[in-house]
Amino acid sequence: MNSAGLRERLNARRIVTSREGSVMFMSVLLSIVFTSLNVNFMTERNFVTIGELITGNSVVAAGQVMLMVMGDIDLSVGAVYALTPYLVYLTYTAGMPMQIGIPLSILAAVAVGSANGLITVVLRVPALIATLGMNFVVTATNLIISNDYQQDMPYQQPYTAIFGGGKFLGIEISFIWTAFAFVILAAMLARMRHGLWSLSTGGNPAGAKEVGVNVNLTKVRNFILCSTLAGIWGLFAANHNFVFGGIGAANPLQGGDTLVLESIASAAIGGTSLFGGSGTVIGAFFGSLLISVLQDGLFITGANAYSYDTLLGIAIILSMVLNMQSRRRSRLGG
Amino acid sequence: MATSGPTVAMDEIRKSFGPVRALDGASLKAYSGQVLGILGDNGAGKSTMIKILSGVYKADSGKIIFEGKDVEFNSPMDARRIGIETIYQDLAIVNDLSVYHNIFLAREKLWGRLPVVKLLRNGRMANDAVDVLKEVNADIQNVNVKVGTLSGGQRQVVAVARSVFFSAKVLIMDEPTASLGVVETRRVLNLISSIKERGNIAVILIAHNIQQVMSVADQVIILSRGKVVAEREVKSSSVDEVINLITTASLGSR
Repeated sequence: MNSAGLRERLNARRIVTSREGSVMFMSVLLSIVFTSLNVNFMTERNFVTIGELITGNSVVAAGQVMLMVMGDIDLSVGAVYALTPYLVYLTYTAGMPMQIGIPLSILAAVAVGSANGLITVVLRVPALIATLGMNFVVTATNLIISNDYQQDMPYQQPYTAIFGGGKFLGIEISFIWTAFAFVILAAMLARMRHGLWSLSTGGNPAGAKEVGVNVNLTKVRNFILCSTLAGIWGLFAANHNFVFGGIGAANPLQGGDTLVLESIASAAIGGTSLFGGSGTVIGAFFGSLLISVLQDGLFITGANAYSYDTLLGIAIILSMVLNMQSRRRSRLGG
Repeated sequence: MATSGPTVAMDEIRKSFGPVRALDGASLKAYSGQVLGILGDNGAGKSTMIKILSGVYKADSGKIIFEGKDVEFNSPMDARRIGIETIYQDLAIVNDLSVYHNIFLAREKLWGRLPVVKLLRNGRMANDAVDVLKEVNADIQNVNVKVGTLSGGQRQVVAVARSVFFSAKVLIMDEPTASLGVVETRRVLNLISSIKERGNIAVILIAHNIQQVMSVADQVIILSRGKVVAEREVKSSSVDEVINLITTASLGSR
């Protein structure tokens, strides 16, 4: 980075007025409001709760960012999120140890992502429709193979602990994986060739192809990436109860449409354009932080359960208004 | 000047689209350090000519000779690989990316040769972008800005800088000033002049505006109905003569 670019980056005013910065600022503001309403908001236990909410959807949101910068989307993440734990349960009860069952379940997530990608690229079905169909297919598969029953997650160390059912140095392992994933994904979008190709695929697909970007391969890779992240973080969610000595659950309805919508909302609130061409991974994290603080704060202050949905809806619309404005500004050269 | 042979030559090119004969034995020669202007009325075959040279279409018959050797292109990538770069009206520029990322898109500079982790050398690419923009006398101060914030002429400059950096030997520009204002047009014409001064690139320029072409070109060819009806050295010709040639050819063919 040359010095002009670096100076631009470190300008304090620019950080606060940047999209990610303003979302973080909003989260802090909300936290102060919730604390003034209920002192229990500022407790370690509640911070862990907010961390758990963020872990639940932020990495999937980062996966959506990789797709949304290309102008694509994945509506099947919620179904994949429930598929992987149930496959671990099924393979385990069929006599396979977790070191086989877990890779197999993640492979299933890879397969769903590949199918999404190929349907979009080869058959030219818009991602919105392709993954909408996939969402129905995988959701129904979950319900069929589970007979609509929730099952206890099998327990086999060290795999249960590694995949979200334990702690490391006093911190929930899934938190560590989430932080790790964000570092890798942020680097991927902002510092690696794959990120540049993803952005160019969304910004000008014909032009990118013209200069030699492998647009189709880039698309398929991101569909696989997003689906795989959903599959892995689904395992973390299923194993979560083991952290506190409880029993994890393979629930065929885990994740679901709520996760789909929250992951897209986090990405959009974080400043990622639905039209492709621009977006950041760290924005998805702050978007997820904002909606997690909102959800937790409303719960802890005893607000009506539906007020979360109301406020989330307003936040999404507001963020889209801001996106359109910043798009217009950058067109005018500001 | 043209002491050696042409960098690229097209010889007796014929091309039909169904019953329409777009090119009927057209030829051209382009030399390093010179600008060849292709003129002609609408439908004369200018676009078909350059699309064959850039590998978009295949000729029905005729030869393309690059640096003395016969070549054949099956795709635009084939043409680009040997150094024939084309800048179309609808620029292959990504507005949301920075100037230097656009220049290096699909030909990025990376750290090491790792198979999966392809880390970008952004600092190096930005510095090289500054250098190449200086070489083509571009007035783009900050290579970190998004291309979408630049003017039409500046975007044209970015596209040309990309070709220059990757050592194009032939640079084809299709109507580079079509959608530009007066000042921006001047900027692009200056750019073409500075490419010419470098001396190692043969420029082929297609444009409607005869004055503009004559102000930077060394030779012009005039196409009509898929044939080259006249060739002129710009030094020993005039805008009036060329206009005359085009209108006579156009009327004569009716």
